[in-house]
Amino acid sequence: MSYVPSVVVSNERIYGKYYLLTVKTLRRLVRTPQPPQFSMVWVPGVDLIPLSYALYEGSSATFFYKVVGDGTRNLSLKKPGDVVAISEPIGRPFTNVENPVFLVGGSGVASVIHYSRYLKNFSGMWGVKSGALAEALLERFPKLKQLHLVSEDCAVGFCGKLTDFLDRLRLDSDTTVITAGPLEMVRAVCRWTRARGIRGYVVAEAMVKCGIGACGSCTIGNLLLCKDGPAVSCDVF
Amino acid sequence: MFSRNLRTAVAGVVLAHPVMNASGILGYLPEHADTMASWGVSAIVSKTFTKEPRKGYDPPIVVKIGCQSLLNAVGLSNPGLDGVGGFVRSARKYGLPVIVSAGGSRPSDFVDVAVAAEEAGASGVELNLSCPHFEGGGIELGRDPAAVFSVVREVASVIRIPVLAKLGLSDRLVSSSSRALEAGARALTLINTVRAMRIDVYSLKPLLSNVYGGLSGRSIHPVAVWAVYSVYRETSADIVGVGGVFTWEDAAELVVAGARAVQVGTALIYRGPRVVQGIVRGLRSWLRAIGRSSIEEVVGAAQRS
Ligand SMILES: Cc1cc2nc3c(=O)[nH]c(=O)nc-3n(C[C@H](O)[C@H](O)[C@H](O)COP(=O)(O)OP(=O)(O)OC[C@H]3O[C@@H](n4cnc5c(N)ncnc54)[C@H](O)[C@@H]3O)c2cc1C
Ligand SMILES: Cc1cc2nc3c(=O)[nH]c(=O)nc-3n(C[C@H](O)[C@H](O)[C@H](O)COP(=O)(O)O)c2cc1C
Ligand code: FES
Repeated sequence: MSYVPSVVVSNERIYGKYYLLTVKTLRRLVRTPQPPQFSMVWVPGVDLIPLSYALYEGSSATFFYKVVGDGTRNLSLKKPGDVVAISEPIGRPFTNVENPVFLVGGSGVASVIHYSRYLKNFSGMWGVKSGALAEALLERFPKLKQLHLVSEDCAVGFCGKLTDFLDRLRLDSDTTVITAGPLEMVRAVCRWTRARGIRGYVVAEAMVKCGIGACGSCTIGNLLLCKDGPAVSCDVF
Repeated sequence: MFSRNLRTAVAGVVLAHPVMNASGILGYLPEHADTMASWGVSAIVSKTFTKEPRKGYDPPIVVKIGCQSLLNAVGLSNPGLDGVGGFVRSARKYGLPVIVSAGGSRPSDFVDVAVAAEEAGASGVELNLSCPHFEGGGIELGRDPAAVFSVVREVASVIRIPVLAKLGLSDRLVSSSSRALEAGARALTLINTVRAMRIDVYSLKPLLSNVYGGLSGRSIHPVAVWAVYSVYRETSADIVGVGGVFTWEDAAELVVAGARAVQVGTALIYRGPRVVQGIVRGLRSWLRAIGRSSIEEVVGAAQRS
């Protein structure tokens, strides 16, 4: 994977462990990222972290991430002016989708932010543990208001887990469900789409190490997430 | 599917055409074998297996650099001995020769992998005596002709399938090659990646987590040509040429330098799997253009001119 040196413009904690990072690349990416492609974000000398592109405009790239371990914690310590590097977009664009419905949880919403630049209208649900997270992100990305919210703390939208509300959705047969988020949630969504004969895709996660199809660490069945994904059919789950 | 004039044989392993994959692009899970067979290679070469499982280095482990080249320090991540059988059995479904790459620090590590490979039905074992970023193994063994002799000897004395010694760039390459052959290697695979590094000049940090790694791709092709030419001149051994093979011309160059077959690694990343069929087609046209009827006729042809 080739990396483009980039300078941190902002790295803001928007709620709890969730951050929005914007970097300016010191040269333009060769390929414009399209949803749901991702980047390997290099924290020099520390770690390399796969993150979905949430935005790419001009030479600015934005990522929405949750601190879960050492790599993301180190990333969260980066200040404006610090140097990182981001990779060219990885994976296949998955933009030619009929009637998309997004069913996403937590930071799985990152690629929906990116999709929202490409799609005028979309629908779906976003499940969060805490409503405050949803409010903070909606303030910055108002187009996400097209999603129904589900919060476990009952502060916004429906009260409970996203998977509790799947049966309330009225989907046409030509709908394509795109899901992203915790494994347990995406598995439940896929079971649900399968049972109803609806096309379902997961913006999947796996251990990405090389990002170019060489190391095999991102193998999911017969697919490589970094080559064939990150959107993979629900059939694989 | 392939006309007869591309048939070749290395270490007694008959190949429908001269293009195999190089060890290390996938090649350690049963699922990988399906993908690798679809590349159209004439033999499937596994990732290097070691006796114990290895996690490999932390990322960044591979960086694309200019000149259609890669810098990698994957760190030989593999599932260890337990993974050998599953991979070989899965690859054998395709009716192609399967060559298992074996690595380690001591001769007995190599022996264990080689025995597992033979038991699972592999056609040959390629000893990785050349990885440039494997402490205590790889090139650290390969640049010492005595160590090469003892590893090859121990392996060749316990398995019946042919042993190929994969050697890399060092100032003892020719003598390590000769010692490998004396110890019972039936062929040599030349070369592995070449030790190298890149540094990011903004953060002032090395790009690879392991600091240095191995260079592959187009930028090492002339080095591979030199290595094959020099070793063939001295030994007339069966050689598999590896390093920056992207086109049929690159493959042909290694053949006339002395290789009976070639392996393709980095080109699979830059050009995609179709590169293999392109090289095969190009070689066939080339033989026609120079009025030769088989690959075997032109092996080492540049040595005579
Ligand atoms: C294609 C892709 C896109 C992603 N996009 C985003 C995103 O937009 N926003 C976001 O917050 N996160 C995203 N992730 C997940 C993110 O990469 C991991 O949370 C991160 O690598 C964890 O690194 P760490 O060093 O902080 O944690 P570690 O200390 O490495 O691990 C902490 C926990 O996270 C798990 N984990 C580690 N690496 C991964 C991984 N690659 N995938 C899944 N779980 C992992 C570990 O099993 C462990 O439970 C994405 C992952 C992939 C593969
Ligand atoms: C990502 C990567 C991983 C590799 N892993 C191995 C390996 O496990 N064992 C080995 O003998 N060679 C390994 N190699 C070296 C290749 O087999 C080959 O010798 C080298 O890359 C030169 O060929 P190329 O220029 O066609 O890639 C690896 C190379 C790359 C790029
Ligand atoms: S991350 Fe290495 S093959 Fe996908």
